Order: sequence, then structure tokens, then C-alpha cells
Amino acid sequence: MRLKSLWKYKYLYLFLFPAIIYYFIFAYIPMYGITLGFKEFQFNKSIWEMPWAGMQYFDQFINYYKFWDLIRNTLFISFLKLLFGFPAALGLALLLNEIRSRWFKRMIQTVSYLPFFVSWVVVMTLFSKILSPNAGPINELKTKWFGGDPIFFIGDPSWFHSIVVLSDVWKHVGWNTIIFLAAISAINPELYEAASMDGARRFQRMWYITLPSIRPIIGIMLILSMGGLMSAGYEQIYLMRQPSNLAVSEILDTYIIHMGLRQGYYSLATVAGMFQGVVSLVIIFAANSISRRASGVSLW
Amino acid sequence: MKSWLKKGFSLGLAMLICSVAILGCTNANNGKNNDPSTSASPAGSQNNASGEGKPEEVTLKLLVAWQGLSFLAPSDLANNPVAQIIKEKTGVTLDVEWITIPEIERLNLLFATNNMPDMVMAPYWGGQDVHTVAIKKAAREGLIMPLNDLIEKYGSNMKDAFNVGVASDFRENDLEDVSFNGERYLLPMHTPLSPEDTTQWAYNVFVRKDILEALDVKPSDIRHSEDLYPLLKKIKDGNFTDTAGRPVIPSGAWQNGWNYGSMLNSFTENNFTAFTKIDEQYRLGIFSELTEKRVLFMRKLVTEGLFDPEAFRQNDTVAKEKMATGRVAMVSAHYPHMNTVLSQSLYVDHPEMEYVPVGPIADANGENTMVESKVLKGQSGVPGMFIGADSKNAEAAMRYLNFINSEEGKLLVYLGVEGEHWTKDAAGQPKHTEKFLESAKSDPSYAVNQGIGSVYTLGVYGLPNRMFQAAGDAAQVDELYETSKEVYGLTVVDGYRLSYFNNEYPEFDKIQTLLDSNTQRDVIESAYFAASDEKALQILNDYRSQLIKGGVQEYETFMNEKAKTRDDIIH
Repeated sequence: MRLKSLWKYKYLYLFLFPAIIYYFIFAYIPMYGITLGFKEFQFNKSIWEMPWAGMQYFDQFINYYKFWDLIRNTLFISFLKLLFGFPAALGLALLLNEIRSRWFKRMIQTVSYLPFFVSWVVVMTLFSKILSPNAGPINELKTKWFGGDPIFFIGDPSWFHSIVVLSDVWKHVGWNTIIFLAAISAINPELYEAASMDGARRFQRMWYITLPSIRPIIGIMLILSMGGLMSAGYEQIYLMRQPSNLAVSEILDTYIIHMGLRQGYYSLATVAGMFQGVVSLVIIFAANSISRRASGVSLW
Repeated sequence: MKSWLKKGFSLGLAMLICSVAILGCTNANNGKNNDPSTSASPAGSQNNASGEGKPEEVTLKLLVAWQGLSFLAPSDLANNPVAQIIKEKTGVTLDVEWITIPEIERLNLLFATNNMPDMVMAPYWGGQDVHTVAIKKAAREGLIMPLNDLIEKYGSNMKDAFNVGVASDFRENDLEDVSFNGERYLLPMHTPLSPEDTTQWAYNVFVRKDILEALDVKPSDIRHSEDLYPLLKKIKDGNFTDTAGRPVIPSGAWQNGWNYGSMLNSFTENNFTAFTKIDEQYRLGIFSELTEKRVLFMRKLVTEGLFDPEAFRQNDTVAKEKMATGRVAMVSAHYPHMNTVLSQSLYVDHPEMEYVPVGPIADANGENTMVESKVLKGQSGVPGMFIGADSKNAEAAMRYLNFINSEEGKLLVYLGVEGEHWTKDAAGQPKHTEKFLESAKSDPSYAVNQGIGSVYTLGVYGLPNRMFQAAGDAAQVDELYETSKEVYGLTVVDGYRLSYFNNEYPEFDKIQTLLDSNTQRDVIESAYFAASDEKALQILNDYRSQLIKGGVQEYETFMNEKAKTRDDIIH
């Protein structure tokens, strides 16, 4: 029966094939690389040929004196991004859905998608220039209107999280609306017509029809986002990393880059990456289980 | 029928997508050599066609793993006058890659991917310097070409490269490391020809001359790092501006914080290693009281807005933007860098904003000012050049290096083409032509674009001071440079550095990770931004506790024991 069903939708499965190949090549095959965490890295040997190092790099990573700072900073930044980024995308999708002028809707969508295609290097260079204490426009205005010394916004730990969230939302909010807009477009229009006839106003239609209809998608997106909690985005944070904000900007991702690319301790960096992956997997399992019990929405 | 067409089309489309996905993952040239050094230079055919005697034409790929050097790039790398003569003499044309990321990141990426160019120029400061550790590991693991045979066959001018201007312990432990089994892998560059030539770098603290004059401060009034503080306060309160009319930053640095450490000279002992002496015992400098003084002084500058907070991690472009408008009133660097970059930018329209060296600034011992600064007999670390193990152009690379290290080659790359850019005076000394001097004056990039004092100087060793005056009148004394060298000063010492016993410590790998210079730098620089002096010291003490927990005291004990085995130990 299942084979029959497979054959029936063979063309659809065929379209799935490139994605399977992609994940096999770029996600599954490289997984053998995690064995590097147990090996003594050498430039001239394949991972299999490198000598075993036992658990020494795990020991080194767990006993790193800033281990808990790394975990705390990573989780806090990811949580903030989720807290502000997720509702922002959902809200924008709901608002876009209410726009009647097709031309205006398209324009807003295009404008909000654009930052997604700009690399973090460009985004952070832009933010650095705008927020620079040396002739940055924000500081120029600040000193002109309010006086006092310029503020090193990116380096100041008290401003750091605000800039991280603001730049992340600005870059991703448009792109993240796509899936919500797709879900909204699948809602049966008859539901809206019936609600209108019953006297429901626009906000009520959004609240009682749109939101409940896309609840499963919201749940799934939230569960998937949970999987990324252990990764706060290395590019953005690495580019914002300053000696002055190290207390809040040292995260697992920057530690991996620092230890791997900067110091050449590839085994140690692999261990940190492995830790990140395993904890993410645990979080996603837990979130899925909680969601299934609480709301019936789950990934599997 | 239509349904069949539809199905056929869908199937075709799906297969096409799959094929593209699969083909996209394969090597497009099916194993053919994609190396521009070979593809761009049909060596054999050209050689045969051009007849005998002409060197084989080769394009050498050179990676300059050194941030901030891209100003050495001529606008036309292949056809400038110097490049044409190099090509005529050696057959070599350079294809250069510059970097904008930290050197160690580029080196690690290079070695981990084994995607080696023909030649790499990189820092090799010796001992436990991260670059040295990475290059040595790559050499031991076969990624770098051994040089002994190549020098013997093609490097008649290179034979002295390992003896001229390098400290004996650096040669013994780094250039000729015992683990190399008698081989050598890295050619030292920019080494001094004589101990006196060591001053050629002329590292100093420089201040804009017009500001010093306006404040009526003489450069020699500055004798101690503490003297910089009132000067910086005056600069901040003095409403000085840059060329665009914006307020100056009292003090700052070039890329990645380079080289603000000179401002803190009075809080250092100018030691040759990471060790200092406390109660007659060798201890790591991080545990010394001087480190605390240094941190607290710098914290004062940063928190009072006297030092640019962005400077610690700014990139080369941002640093040059600031310097090109005279935005930073006080900065530390070596003279050749200051002069080369600023003579092409700030000094063109604003010669009054010239940066002059202040000092000499006394070091922590008070007795040794920078005039009498300690200099090892020969350099304790060098910029170096190595050849990729798989390079098919090693012979051409040596031919090129050998030529630029000949007398003829050095004159060519530093002064230009004889007759066109310089001639010899009655005393036989080279002197730039009037035409060259006029062109260099009207166009600051002229010399570099002609190939003079440009990328081709990388790879030259054993240099007399005069060679560092790339774009000036070689016969005319650059007074500012002479002053800078005088302020920098010279005291030559010789000995065996304590840190070279590191290799004998059984658990040094573990200690090395703990003492990693980047981590240490992060700790110290984050303390500059602490909310109070107490919190700054707390940051330092947390790190010290981590070091002790990690076994650093046992390491220090070992080093003290080892120090007793020689009587020429210096630290």
C-alpha cells in the first residue's frame, strides 16, 4: 500500500530528491567530522588517520573557566532574539495580510525581505558606522542635543543586547514572514466571509480566524526555533565582539571560531560544536514533547 | 496525449534539477589543474618559443598574510617598470593575495584546507607566538617545502639569510628547530644588516606636530607613560580638529590596536620573554604588579575618553580612514609605516600635521629609556617567506627571491630602475632623479605604482637603514626618520631566552592553551573597560586563578630549575 502511494506521487518525491541529496552530502556525510573531538588534529592526515586523544578536549572544554558564561550568554541572546524576532515576524505577516492594496503589500514585502540578502559583514559595518563614537550620526545628534561624551554603543554591554536584537529583527523579520504568509493564504476564505456576515470586524477576524488557523504552523516554527537556542549566530556576534563587551558577547559560536580558526585548536572547537548540537537536539525533543502534550502540535 | 506531455515535462524538469544539484557538487574542471600559477603561464611552450637563455615565464601566487600591507600593491602588478625588469631577469610575475582578517586565521585556514599558494609571507615572531606555532606544525607535517636543497641550487644570495640579523637563540630554536631534523622552512625577511640597522623600524609614540606646537609641548618633555596623561587631557580640551573639522581623538591605534603598547612603555620591563623576576624567581609577567599598573593606567585613558575605544579591534580600512584625516592626535607605530601611509594621504595637503616622535619614554626600570632600549643581537622574530610543499614553481620562487636579494635586486625594488628613477652620484651613492622626485611629490602613489618600495620588497633580508627610505631621495637624509631612530635607540644584548625551555616542559601543550596570547589579550583589554579599578583587577585575578588551577605554577618551577642549567639566560 505504501509503495503504491509512493509510486502514485513519484514526481513529487522526485522533486524532493535534490533536497535529500543536499542534506546527505552537506549535513550527514560531514558528521563523521565530529570524531575530530576525540583526535589529535594534524594538518597532513585525514581525520581517520589522526591519533586518538581520548576525552582530553571534553575535559578542557567543560573545565574552561568561562564555560558557564558561554552557556548563559548564548542562551540569553538566543532567547532575546526569539522573544522579539518571532512575534515581530508573526505580527508583520498578520499586518501584511490586512493590506488591501496589492501594490503596497508587494512593496512592503520586498522592502522587508531585502535586508535578509545583505551579509552580516555589511549590516554590522553599517551599524558600526552609524553608532560609532567617532563621528557616527547617532552620537553626533546625541552630543548636539543632549551634550556629554559620545557612547560606544556596540562596545557598551548595556547597549549590546538591544543592538543585537534590533539588527537581527531588521535583517530577518521580512524573510521570516514568508512561511506565515503562506499559511495564512491557505485559510479558507469562506471562514472570513461567514465571520463578516456575523458582524466580525477586522481585528476580530484576525484574532478568531487567522491566528487559530495558523496555530499549528506557529507551533512548529516555535519548536524549530527552540533547536537554535544554543546558537546565537556567530557572524553577527563575532563582528560585534569588542574587549569592552566580552562579558556579554562571548558565546559558544564565537568560542568555536576563536578556538578553531583563530587558535588552530580544531579538536577543542569540534567538542564545543558537538556539545552545542547535542544540547540543541535535547531541547528540540523536549520542546516537541511539551508542545504535543500541551497543544497537540508537534513535529512528529 | 496532453497528460503524457505534462508527465514527460515534469519528469524531465525533475531530472534536470537533480542533475544540476549533483553536478553542482562536482569539480567543474574534472581534475584539471586549476592553479592560476600554472594555467596563467604556459611555461614550457613559452620557453621553447622564446629561445634559449630566457628564464621560464611563471606567474607566482603570493599570499601576503599580513594585515595592512595592501598599500604596497602597485596599481598594475604585471606591467610596472620594476615588475618588467623582474620578469626579464627571472621570468616571474607576481599574483598577490592580500588579507583583511587576522594573520593567524588566514594561516590556519590555509593549512587546514591545504590550499597553498606558491609563496606565503607571514609573521614568525618565534617562541610561542601563535603564527610560529602554526607554521612550525605545518612544516613538520609536510605542508611547507624544505629549503636546504633549493637554497643550495638556486639561492646563492640567500645563503646568509639565516645568519644575518637574527638572534642566535631564535635561529637555534625557531628557524632551525630541532624537530625540523636539520631542514629549514622559512626565509627570514627584513632583517637588519648590522646591529645598528635594528633601529630601522623606529617604533615610537607619535603626536601631531601642530598640536604639540599649539600646546607648547616639546617632544622631549615626555619621559614617562604618566606624562602622556596630562598631554592627552590638554589635547582633549584643546578643541583640535582633523582635516574635515571634526574633533580629534586624543589617542588611538592602527589596525587591531597596533601598537598602543608603546604608550605603556613605563609599565613594562621590555623583557624578551613572557617572564619577569619577582623575588629572584622567574614568574610569568601576568602575575606582576606592573601588569596591574598597566591595566589601571590604560583603563584611566579609556574611561576618560582619552583613547579611542574602537581602536582595539578596528580593521585596517577604518584605521587608515582615521589616520588619513589626522583624526588621531597620538598614535604608536614604526616610522616606515607612518611615513609610507601618511605621505600618500594626510601629508599631501597637510604637511603641518606631520607626526613626530615623542620621548624617549622610560621603561619600568627607569634606567632604560627607549634610547637605551634593549635589542637582542639580531632580531628575535621576523616576517618570513615560505613555499607551499606542492608548489610546482618552487624553482621559480627561489629564482625570484634570489634576484631581489642580490645587490642589483635590492636597488631595483627599493629605489627603482637605474637611469630612470635613480642614478649614482660622484661618490657612487644612489640618488633619485629629479624627474622621480617631482613625480613622487605630485603623486604620492607614484613610487608604489612604479613598483618602488612596494610588494617586491617583501622577501628581502639583511637591509641597511637607507633601504627603508623607499620613496625619498636616497642621498638626502630624512631628518624625521633619523630622529625616530634616535628616540627608539639601541642597546645590543645577547643570550639564551628562558622561553626556549618551553619545548622541554612535558605538559606545555596544555599550558600553551591556557597562556594563549589572544585569550590573555582579551582578558587584559576587557579589564580596561571595567566599571571600576577594583573590577578591573578582579577580571585579572579571575584569569590568574584559572592559570594557577591549570598548573602554571608547576610550569614556573620547571622553568626556574631549567634556568639554573645555563649562565647566559635572559628573560
